[in-house]
Amino acid sequence: MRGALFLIGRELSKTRRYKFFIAMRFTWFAIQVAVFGAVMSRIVTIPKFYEFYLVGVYSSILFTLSVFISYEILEEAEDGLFEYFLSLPMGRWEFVLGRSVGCAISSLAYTIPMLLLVLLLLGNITPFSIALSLFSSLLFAIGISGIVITFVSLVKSSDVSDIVFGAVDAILVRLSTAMYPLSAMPSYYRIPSVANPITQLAEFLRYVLSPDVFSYTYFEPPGSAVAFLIGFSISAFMIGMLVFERKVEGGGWR
Amino acid sequence: MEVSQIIKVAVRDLNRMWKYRWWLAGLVAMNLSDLFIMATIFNGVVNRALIPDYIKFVAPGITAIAIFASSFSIGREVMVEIRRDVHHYLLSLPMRRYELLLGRALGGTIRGLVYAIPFLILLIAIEGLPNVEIFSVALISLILLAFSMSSLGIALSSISRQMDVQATVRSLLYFVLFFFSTVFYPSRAISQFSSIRLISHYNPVSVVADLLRASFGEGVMPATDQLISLPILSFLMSVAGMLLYMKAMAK
Repeated sequence: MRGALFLIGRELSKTRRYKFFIAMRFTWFAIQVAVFGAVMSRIVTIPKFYEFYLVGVYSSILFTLSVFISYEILEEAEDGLFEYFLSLPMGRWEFVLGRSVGCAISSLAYTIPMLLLVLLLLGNITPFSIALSLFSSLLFAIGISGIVITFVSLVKSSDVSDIVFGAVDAILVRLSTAMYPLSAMPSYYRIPSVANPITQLAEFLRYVLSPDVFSYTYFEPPGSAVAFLIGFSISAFMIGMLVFERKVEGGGWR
Repeated sequence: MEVSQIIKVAVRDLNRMWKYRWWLAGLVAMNLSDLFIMATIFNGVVNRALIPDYIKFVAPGITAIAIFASSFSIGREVMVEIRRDVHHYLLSLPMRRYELLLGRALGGTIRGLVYAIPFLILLIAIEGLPNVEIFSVALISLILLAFSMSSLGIALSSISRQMDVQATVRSLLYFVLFFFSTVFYPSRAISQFSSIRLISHYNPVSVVADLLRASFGEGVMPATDQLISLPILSFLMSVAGMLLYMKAMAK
């Protein structure tokens, strides 16, 4: 476990590096909340749309940040740093665990001001709501980081990764309940939306932070969202470990 | 002024557009998912008194965003060139500097227009045939939008060599032009938000989106002051872009 802890510490030590990126994302979040959310709430017929949207936009930004931060493994590989990591005295599973959890904690740390703003706007700042929100967000971020690390280890190409993550980001956010409830979707969008981790996180956070908004989304019971998030993070880690060992062993990145 | 030199530079930039095919593919995915997922779902929940058909309402706006984002992308290339000192090579070419500047802005404009053509075809497929007169004005405004956004992209890439600063400023501008516009909501819906309404009123993306809508019989024609503001803004942005680019290259 020492290797994993070392990598988690290393990820956290890099948090200051992205100050401009974080400023940009926070601005994007603020504009989404103050402009898009406020105006759309006057156009749509969904009751309490603004409260609904606040939680959704937080979930989508956590997703985008988790992808961005985990993606750095690709840049490190292109800079030749990857071989150094492989030479460290730690198991491959420790590498996957350390990177997944480290990237997830970093992503979560960056989004804490946004989460606090959401809690403030919803008028629900309690130790219970903060703890449950952080726990579910961490599970979600670990799963996303694991998937990204697995994928980039598999394809080892920045071109392919760029297009896949660009497209996946655009499609997954829109094909989730970040902006609209499941009941508003045509039937052909509902199944992919329920299988979407952003939907599961958003719905669980709505249940915790704003139960009256959750009640009209006609979603599964909140326990199933937690089960989904736990299963998602564990399976992303397991798949990541298996793929990583097979794809990088003996040949490094190339 | 030799037009052939300007065209050579523009054609070079057009050929290099495909170098960014992965970025373009991401942009296509975003624009299409806005239309086929987001707009389709919102169509079922919008207030029909305000917007009778949200897909038809958003489609012209997405075309305006598409041309804005793709023209703006020339700025990314200029940024990389300045960082890697490629501009020394460009300055050594046997042409006048303003020919190079005009060629770069024209190249960005053509890139934007090339990218927008499939979206215009899609727009006609969704909305039907447009009013030819208004559509002609809309096409001219699209060209002006592409030229001004390509100049603006170049200007922003020339203000700093720090990639983080550039990316932050560019994204901030992107968000403002994107959300403070009538792309996603009609001007009636933002009438109570004075600052949003003011920016949106003169936002070139709004003007183009509203013109395209009007050409398909949706909404109303932009006001005279909006129509006048587009070429003025386009001219100012182009001059600012070229001056800043020249200053950055001459350093």
